[in-house]
Amino acid sequence: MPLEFEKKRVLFRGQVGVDEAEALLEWLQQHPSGKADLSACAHVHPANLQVLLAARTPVQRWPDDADLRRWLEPVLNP
Amino acid sequence: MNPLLEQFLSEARELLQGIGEKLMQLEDAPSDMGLMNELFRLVHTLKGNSGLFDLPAMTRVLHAGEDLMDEIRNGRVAFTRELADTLLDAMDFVGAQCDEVDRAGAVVPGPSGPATALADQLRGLLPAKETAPQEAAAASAPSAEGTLAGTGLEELVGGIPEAERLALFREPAGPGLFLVTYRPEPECFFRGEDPFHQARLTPGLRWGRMQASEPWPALGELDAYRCALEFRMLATASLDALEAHFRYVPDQVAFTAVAPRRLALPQGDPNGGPVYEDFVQEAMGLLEAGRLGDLERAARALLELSNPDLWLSSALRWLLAFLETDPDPRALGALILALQTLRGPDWEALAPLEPATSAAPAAVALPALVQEVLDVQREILEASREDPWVPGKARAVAATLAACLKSCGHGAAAEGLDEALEAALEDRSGAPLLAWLSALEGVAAEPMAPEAVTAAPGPVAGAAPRPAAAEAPEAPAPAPAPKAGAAPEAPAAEAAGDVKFGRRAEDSGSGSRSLKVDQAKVDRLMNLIGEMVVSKNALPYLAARAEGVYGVRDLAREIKSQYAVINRIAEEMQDAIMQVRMMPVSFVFQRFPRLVRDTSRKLGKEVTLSVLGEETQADKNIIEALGDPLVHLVRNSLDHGLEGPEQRLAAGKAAAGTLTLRAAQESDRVVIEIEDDGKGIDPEVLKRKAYERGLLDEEALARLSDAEALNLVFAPGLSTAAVVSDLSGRGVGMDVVRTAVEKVNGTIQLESALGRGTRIRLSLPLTMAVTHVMLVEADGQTFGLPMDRVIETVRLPRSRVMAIKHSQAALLRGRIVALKGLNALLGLAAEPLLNEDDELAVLVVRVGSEPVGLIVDGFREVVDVILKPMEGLLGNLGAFAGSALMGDGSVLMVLNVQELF
Repeated sequence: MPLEFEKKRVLFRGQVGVDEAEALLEWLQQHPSGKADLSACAHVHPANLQVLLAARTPVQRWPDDADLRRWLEPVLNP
Repeated sequence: MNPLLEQFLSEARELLQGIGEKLMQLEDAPSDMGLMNELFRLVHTLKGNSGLFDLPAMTRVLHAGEDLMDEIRNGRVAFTRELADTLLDAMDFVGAQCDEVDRAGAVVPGPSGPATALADQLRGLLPAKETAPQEAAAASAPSAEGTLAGTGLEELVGGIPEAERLALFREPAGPGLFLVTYRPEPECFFRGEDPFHQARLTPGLRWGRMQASEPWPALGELDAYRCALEFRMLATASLDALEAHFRYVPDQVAFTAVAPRRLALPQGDPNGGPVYEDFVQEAMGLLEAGRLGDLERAARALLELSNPDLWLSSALRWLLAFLETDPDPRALGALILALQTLRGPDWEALAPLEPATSAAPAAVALPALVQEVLDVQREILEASREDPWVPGKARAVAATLAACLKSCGHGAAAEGLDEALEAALEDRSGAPLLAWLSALEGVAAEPMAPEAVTAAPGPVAGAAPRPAAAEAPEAPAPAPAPKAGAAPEAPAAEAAGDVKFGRRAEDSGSGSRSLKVDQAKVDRLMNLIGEMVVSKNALPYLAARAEGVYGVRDLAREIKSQYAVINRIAEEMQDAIMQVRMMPVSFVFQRFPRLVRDTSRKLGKEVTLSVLGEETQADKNIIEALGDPLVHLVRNSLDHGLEGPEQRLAAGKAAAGTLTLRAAQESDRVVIEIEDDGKGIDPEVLKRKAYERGLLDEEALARLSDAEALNLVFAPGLSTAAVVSDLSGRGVGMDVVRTAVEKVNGTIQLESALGRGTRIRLSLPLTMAVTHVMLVEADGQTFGLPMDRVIETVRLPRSRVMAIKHSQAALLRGRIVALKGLNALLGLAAEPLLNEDDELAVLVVRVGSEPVGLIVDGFREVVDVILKPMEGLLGNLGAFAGSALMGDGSVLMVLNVQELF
């Protein structure tokens, strides 16, 4: 599973595709204070990013992938 | 070239022609909605077609054209002459692309630059509110640096760490530095696109950012699948590479060339540090004195003293970088002054160097049309290097150039032209003029070129100047640009300079080699040639008359030899026109793989289709007439012939049945066979069915051989399938097939072996134009019989004619052949004539699949005739297939053998 939902955080793993956005949105609606752990993420479809952005989800750990982090940090870290 | 591409090209040319015509008609009647709709339809079709191939440039232009046309159609944009010009230019470009593809014989992507320019030009004509959100897209031509402020370059650049920017700036001149603005469509996720992935893979990506294009709604209202993100990237790649990467979303992406110096954006803490006033003064002094080496040392020293986090340190680092790579004194000056003001230099205001004035003609931005003229002059000069008439040409070229420049308001640019002309006349070559022309154009294209002339000399002046090309757009165009409306012309002018698509299609001289002609015209030609073939047949009569009636033997011989010549030419003509009408059988065969696949799946059968001899050719009418009968036959084979897998396995056959379609040419006929290895047809079942339906009486039933029984499938109202399915079995199929085949003078034969399969053989004439008929005599009249019905001619001794009840018959080649008197059949009272040996002339013809002997009075020659079907009241005379005009002017009645009995 590219997305792993824990009690208070969601883990992104590998390639997170467009289909995950719905589950992510649902989870974040139920867990408004949830956090995101992107450390194991290699790529994330923008639909998921939009959910994270709209929910203003704090990012607990940035991706290990330096390139992805360069893209995500400025936009997810207001 | 594959047939699809070939067809695309020929259609595209036709469509372009139509578009051109409609555009011109619209110029006269701009409010004609019918014309407008027609035009839209044409462009739309062409766009759709081009989308089948990998022709992004063409599709892009057409797409823009279509959008514009749609706006016009909806009355949001008025149709103007300029608009028509732009559209015509666009169509010329498309035409040029088609020529290119035609020449290459394969799809070539084509130049994307001019395509983008054209597309932008077209989009520029769209109403403002439409273009506003796409402003960046419209400005995607690399020349649009002016709109950078709107695209947030500063902000983006500011986000890049200074070290990275410095590295970028110091990099040797690469393919170019571009700001890519990518605004994916909101619906793009539904097309399976991942814009982020696309953005991450941008070639030469150096830095990228994404941002929301609108504020995020509350989570409950968020539509996660509506893309609201935008991407901006800084990439060092060629425009071509970038365009290729984003080729599927050309309307969502904009590329802006970025001059490397725009990266110089000092950042840091503006407070603290030593006062720099002194340094600024000293540095300006050094700069004015051209002592760049000293300037560099001073800057380095100061940098070491300062806290690296300061804004001032950052500015100093940039100063050093400029000293290293771009020692333009004005840029350096601006940076030094920035130390005082603590504000980054305004690079936009700081235009690069003015073009130097020298002996070379002044830089002029030439309109596209003038550019075209210049190109032609260049061609003339280049072509005439060796000619003896060089002086005349040189004079003409010089006059053209002078007039041309004068008329477009650049008369001053013509200075030096006279000298060049004199030089050219002196050494009798076009070279001096050519050189002058190159200088003129060279300067027009590259205003930055003379930079080296004025660059301050100094220790580092030897370093290569920054690439001119990337900065060229920053140069203020010397050409007057009085109003915004004129702006789109600039990219067009450049584009026209690059690729000569601006030329009219006639100029290119590469016409299409295939011709699309109305079939009626070909038919007329064929009829005329047919008449010619027939009338040439009058010559032998004439020769016979010359000899027989007038007794001039030599003349008769000469007429005969002339006849031979005319005969040969006429036959060649006939052959040629037949070639025009020939089509490969694949035209009808190509639909079968799909048909067989779908049908067999529906029936739960496994069928392997093998198609042979697709390239066999026949007349268009024949091929077209074949389509429906073949579909019937194939369906029949699938439905009734081939068994299901279990049945087949039980019968000891492979589970998958084989259906073979075979076409071949046999002399002047084309033979098509449909063969299956199914269960075959049981003649007993057929007989019983025919009896049940009352098609046969008991007597006939008993007489019928198995082979003859098989022909019952062609009887109207007979079906072998127990159940009527939606595929076949309604008892109309085979009857209709036979009628259709016979209509084009074809024959159909059926062979079947129970349990082993069925083979249906269609034999069709290659062409219907000319019919071979055999002439026979009956009671002093001449009649024709189609040769394809004739099996043989025999002289039959009267003694061998047997009378069986009222019928006559004879034993011929081991079988009983019924004999019929032609006179009796035609209602002529005369008895058949016998020759001196007491023999009857019997013409054995095929009726259905059965031979019948036709007793005639005498045989004559075989001739080619144009068979005209009987029309009107005479059309009901079934006994005649038609009439034909003979060479001696008489009318020949051709019998329809099938209906005669």
